[in-house]
Amino acid sequence: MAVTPEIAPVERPVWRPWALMTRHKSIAAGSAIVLLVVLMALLAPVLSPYDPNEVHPLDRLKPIGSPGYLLGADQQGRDMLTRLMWGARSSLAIAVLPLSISAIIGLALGAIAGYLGRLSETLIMRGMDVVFGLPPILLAIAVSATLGPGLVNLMLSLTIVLIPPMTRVTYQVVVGLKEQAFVEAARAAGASSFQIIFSQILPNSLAPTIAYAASLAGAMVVFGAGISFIGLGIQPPDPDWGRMINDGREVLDLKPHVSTLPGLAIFVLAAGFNFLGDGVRDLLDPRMRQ
Amino acid sequence: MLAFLIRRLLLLIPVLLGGTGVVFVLIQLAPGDPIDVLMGVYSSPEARAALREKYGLNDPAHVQYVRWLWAVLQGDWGTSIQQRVPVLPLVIEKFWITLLLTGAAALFATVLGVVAGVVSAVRQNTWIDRLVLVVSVFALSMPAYWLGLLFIFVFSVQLGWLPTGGLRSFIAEKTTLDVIEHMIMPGIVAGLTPAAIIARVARTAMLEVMRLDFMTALRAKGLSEGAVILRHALRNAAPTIVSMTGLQIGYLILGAALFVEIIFSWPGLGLEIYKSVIGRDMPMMLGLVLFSTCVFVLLNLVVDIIYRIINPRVRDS
Repeated sequence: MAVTPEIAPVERPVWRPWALMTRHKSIAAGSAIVLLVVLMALLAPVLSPYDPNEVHPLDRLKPIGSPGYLLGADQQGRDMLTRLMWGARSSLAIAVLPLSISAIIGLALGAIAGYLGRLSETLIMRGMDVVFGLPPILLAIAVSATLGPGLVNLMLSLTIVLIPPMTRVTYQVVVGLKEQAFVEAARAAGASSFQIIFSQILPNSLAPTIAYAASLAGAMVVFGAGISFIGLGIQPPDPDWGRMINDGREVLDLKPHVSTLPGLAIFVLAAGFNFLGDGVRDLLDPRMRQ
Repeated sequence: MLAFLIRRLLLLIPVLLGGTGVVFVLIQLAPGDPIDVLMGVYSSPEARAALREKYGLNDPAHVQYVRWLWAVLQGDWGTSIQQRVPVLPLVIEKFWITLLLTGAAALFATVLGVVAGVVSAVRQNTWIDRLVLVVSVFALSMPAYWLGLLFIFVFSVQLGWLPTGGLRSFIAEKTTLDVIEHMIMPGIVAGLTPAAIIARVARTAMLEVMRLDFMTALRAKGLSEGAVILRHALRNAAPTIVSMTGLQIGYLILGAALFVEIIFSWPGLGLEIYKSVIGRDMPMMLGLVLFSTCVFVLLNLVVDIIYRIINPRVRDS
């Protein structure tokens, strides 16, 4: 008779959003802010009082609280509230899409380099060292300037900048996992490298990579809006927070609301992502738990 | 140490080759044909072909890369389209101006960051720890290009205490004090985010050291709390803090300072990059990127060396 050893059931994390929120205040605060901005972006066509590019020459630079312009108007008489709502769309896209795409690429490259080792490791990791050697902001600016301004090119340049750190984080996790008993066991059971990477390595390296990506989202909001601020992101007249700050600079001394409101929006969204990222990292990285 | 130095210096070669390679590819991809610039769009096809041959533009890409790299090594970095001067001397001149600002910002960030991080670790889970954490999240979320505008609006426009920007006044005496006055706001704005990152790293590093057993032993030996923290805990946490600070200073010189220079019209590398992007001055922009990459790589090397000097655990391995 075969003896089946008694195995203690593995404790699986249970998905209880409400308990998560009450126990981790920074996740609650962060996700509330982010959710609010997401709703604002999604509902912009329904909620915004005007078309974002609609100019009202007679209402130029209306102050905050003017009738019809809750948050005032800019130099061309466009409604600030409307433009802030629409601008949330590109800011969210800039924060989330490059991170997600680079995380997927980084997971793949890091898993290959870490698990297979040898030539693939040398090629991938030394290649990453080279890209990592370039200062990230300048690389993003240089790539954006070369490809030409626009939202898609901006996101592409941010993705390129993010791939090396993502790969590096995954690689470090995978190198640690490779020696673990359960990977050994899978190998002994005759699983191919491909199977092991997919069934053992990737699921276990997901959490640290997601935690890392989450911790960068806030910085990406600031970073991406910064490149737009320089003029390499969304092109006028379409609304974008970074661009709006730069456009409002010329009237800063008289009408500070034009450039400070979009800045406030960037700050709030970035703080939301940063609180959320801190919370996610504490949750997924037990070493940080106190 | 010597073996480490040699290995680390050899490692610079592929990184710099790769970095220059990336810049070269960007030059190739950049919109616009150099022949158009030299001869105009309406030149004859024969003349264009001849010039193309003369400048070696028909050669394979790797031949062109080696030729370009050779010119770069000899100090020929091309000519700025906008300013019509050689790129390299201009870049070097701007570098010193940027270094002045980032030096001040780095000093501010390091002092503030280390003090805040150590205090919040020593007083873990008290109100001051929470305050440092919350303020650091706010500082991390604060776009420098927005905070700079707020500073200008409050301290220059409203209160009139500090100049709105530039390196020195046009009319006043050109004194050191004048330059320092111009440096206060950009220095603080550029240093705030790195200060927040340094504070968080310093806190974590200190906490990791402070939960080790030898801390109890030191206290049992009768050392004062101040000596335990400053002479032992901080000293053990120093390597982590130094390497993070070095990395932050690298990012600062080449990243954050860019936005601050634009907002405060500080005439350094960052403002020059902005002008070259706006004016589509590719030779200038790529020269600036290339130069910054070299500085970044060298700075990382210096940080690695300092890390080994102050961390006996890796010094001899």
